[in-house]
Amino acid sequence: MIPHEETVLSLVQTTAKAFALRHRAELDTIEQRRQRFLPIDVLNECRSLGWLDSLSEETIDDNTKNPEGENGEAAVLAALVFELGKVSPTLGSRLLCHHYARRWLEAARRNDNGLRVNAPAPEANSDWLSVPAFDTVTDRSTANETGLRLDRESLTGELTMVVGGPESTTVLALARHAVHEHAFVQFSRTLVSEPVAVATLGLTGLGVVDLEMSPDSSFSFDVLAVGPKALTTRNVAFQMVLPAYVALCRAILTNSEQTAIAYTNSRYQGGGYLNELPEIQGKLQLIARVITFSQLLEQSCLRDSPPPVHLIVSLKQALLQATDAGLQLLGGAGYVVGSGQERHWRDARQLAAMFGSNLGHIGT
Amino acid sequence: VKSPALDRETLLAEYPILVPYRHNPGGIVDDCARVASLFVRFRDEVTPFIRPLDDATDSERETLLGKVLRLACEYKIFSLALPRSFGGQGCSMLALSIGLEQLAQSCAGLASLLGTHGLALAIVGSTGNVRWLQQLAGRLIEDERRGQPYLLSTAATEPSAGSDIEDFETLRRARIESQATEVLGGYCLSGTKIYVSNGSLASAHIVVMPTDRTRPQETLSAFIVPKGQPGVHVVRTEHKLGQRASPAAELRFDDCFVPETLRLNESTLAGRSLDLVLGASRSFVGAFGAGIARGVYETCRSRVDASHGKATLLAQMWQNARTARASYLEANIVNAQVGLVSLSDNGLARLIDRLMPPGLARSRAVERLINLPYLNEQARRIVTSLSARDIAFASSYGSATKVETSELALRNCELSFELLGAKATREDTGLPKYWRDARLLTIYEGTNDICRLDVTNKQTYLNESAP
Repeated sequence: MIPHEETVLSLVQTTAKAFALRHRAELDTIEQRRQRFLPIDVLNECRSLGWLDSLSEETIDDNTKNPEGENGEAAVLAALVFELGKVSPTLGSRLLCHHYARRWLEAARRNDNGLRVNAPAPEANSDWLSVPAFDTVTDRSTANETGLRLDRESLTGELTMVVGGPESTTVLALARHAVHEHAFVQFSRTLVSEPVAVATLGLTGLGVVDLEMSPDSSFSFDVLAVGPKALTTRNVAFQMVLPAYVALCRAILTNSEQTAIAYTNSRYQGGGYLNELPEIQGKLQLIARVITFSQLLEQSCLRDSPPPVHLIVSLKQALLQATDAGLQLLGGAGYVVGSGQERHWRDARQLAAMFGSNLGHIGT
Repeated sequence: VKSPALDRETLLAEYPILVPYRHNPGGIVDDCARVASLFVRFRDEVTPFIRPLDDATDSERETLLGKVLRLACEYKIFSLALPRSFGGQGCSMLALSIGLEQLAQSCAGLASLLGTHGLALAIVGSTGNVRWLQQLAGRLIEDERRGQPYLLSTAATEPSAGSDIEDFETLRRARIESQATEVLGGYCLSGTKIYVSNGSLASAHIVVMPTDRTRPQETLSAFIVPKGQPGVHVVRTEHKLGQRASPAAELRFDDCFVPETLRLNESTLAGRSLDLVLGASRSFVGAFGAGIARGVYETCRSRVDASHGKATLLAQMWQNARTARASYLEANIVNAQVGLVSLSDNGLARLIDRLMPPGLARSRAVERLINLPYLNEQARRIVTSLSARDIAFASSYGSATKVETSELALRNCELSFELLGAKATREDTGLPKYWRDARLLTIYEGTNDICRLDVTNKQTYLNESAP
């Protein structure tokens, strides 16, 4: 890392730390009250700090980028997400999802090989919304090949787990399954009804959007990339946010470790302090090992080409195990909400669900 | 949606371990079928309450639980396992565990609430105190008829001792701060108990405290403390990660006086009695784990098509559910033969049934009979007649099944995530609740680490004391 980039990262970290501490109480309330969305003023402040736009152009000199040109932005995003994630994994996650969507959209637009589809109003009570005519499809062969078919169930089912929120700069739908398995769709804003947050296991306040289409109106959407092209553009976005994803995992692990250490240092049980017991030390070591692993993986993501998929799978599994150990070593206090450990446990499970299940990764 | 009826044949198909007993008319299979189908009907009835119970605030939860418990009274669940001579239905503990597994398939929290009540009764049973058993049974049946359950809780865990109190060896080193000081005519209870399941709801607490905190192994005792006794305070109800239908409370005892008659045991509760109780109660926790494992499997089965990769995962989930079920049934059978359950299913209950014909349970003559020192001596003799090896054997099975089933339940939750991806984290699927509920199983009733320690200690003892 060259000195200039180091300075920029240090500045980002300091700003993020200050921001997180300033909004800590507000962000904690989201969790305590199980609110569905982050406060709008927090997100507006993120916007004014420039955290919702491209992070590379203003902050990192082009010379510091690697040949692929993605590393500067990825490093800044990772640093930002880690610092915010330590105070509010929800905010860290929100930022990460936003940049994932933004990056994918940019990459897909650059490709400029998409097609536009106009669809009539769907039939009432129809489970499937098929697209009967491809009048405006520019590349018929691709369309036929992929068999453009819109599954209404997928729209409300799959899209709910994507990203966004009412405050997103662009309403995006990363609908891998919406049109076809590997298509990237951008919906026009009018299509999106009032977003409905879906209660989830962890990361309260993420504001996952449930996109619902009005069944009695016609609509149009842009297919920006289809098939392998969509996969390629998605991979560009994924690689950019991967270090940030690993950093967010590390933030949750760090919190879990700190809670565990504070508890075991002060707790007398079994004839001594908990941290003297070999079983407890084993669990603490496990958490520390996973933190080290995530650090190395993050550096590897930033320095080299993206790591093999099995490392991501390993990280997800290790994250689940480590947060599990963190909760277990608190005993009864672990499952009480006030301890904080149960939140790390839930958030870790929500985080592990991002970017597909392990089965999906193994499949790739 | 009504669940399909769990008749005798379906039960045998679901629980093949019972097949060898199928030709025994009116025996264990019929008993299990009756209890299991009762719990399935009860489960269907309480299903609308399950989500609200999980999301409710403390006061809302108390109202909802009131309704659920009244339903439990209508189904006569509280008198199911009480001896017939006491006016109960005399069902076997094996049948009860199958019933609780069925309930846990929908809500482990409710199963835990009923299981905690059973744990308190088990402590009374382990002391061989027939007089109190009879009194509690009478009260339970009477209140059940009125639709107001006489719920019990067990207060054992301490802020500074955690699970130490649940193992004989760790008890010696435990930093116990509570004490029941002997005073004129009774005992004065002081100290704090935490994570008391049902603590805020119970009509009476079974409080486990030493009479001399410097010698807990020798003086650990159990007391019945009615709700509202001066000096008992519910400090707070905990906000839990899972199993929210079973509220856990912190209780504080400020010089709470209990008369001598409310002390349940004569000798120490540590060692034999606790091993007996935990061997049985952990076997029941096994049933909750098996219920969750099964519930997760059924939820996923209805949501995915068994394509190639997913079929493998579904098969793994089914295997886990089956293994968990086999594990807890085995532990319950062991306990019915040589553990605490043998006292209720065979020894103590049989003695009571022989001495007291059914229908006389509430008569004055029976009360006088119960108060006879002879009967109590006989009951205590039956308890003490269980050999140390048998108790160790049953205890190790109970602890092992608790560890095994809780981990299998968690494993199925993880597999559900593999199957459904991020959808498995959505509350409307019911899967996050299973996940949270399962996570508690590895902690309460002795953490899994304490249970593993128990398995090793008991197995070492069994090997060393082998004839």
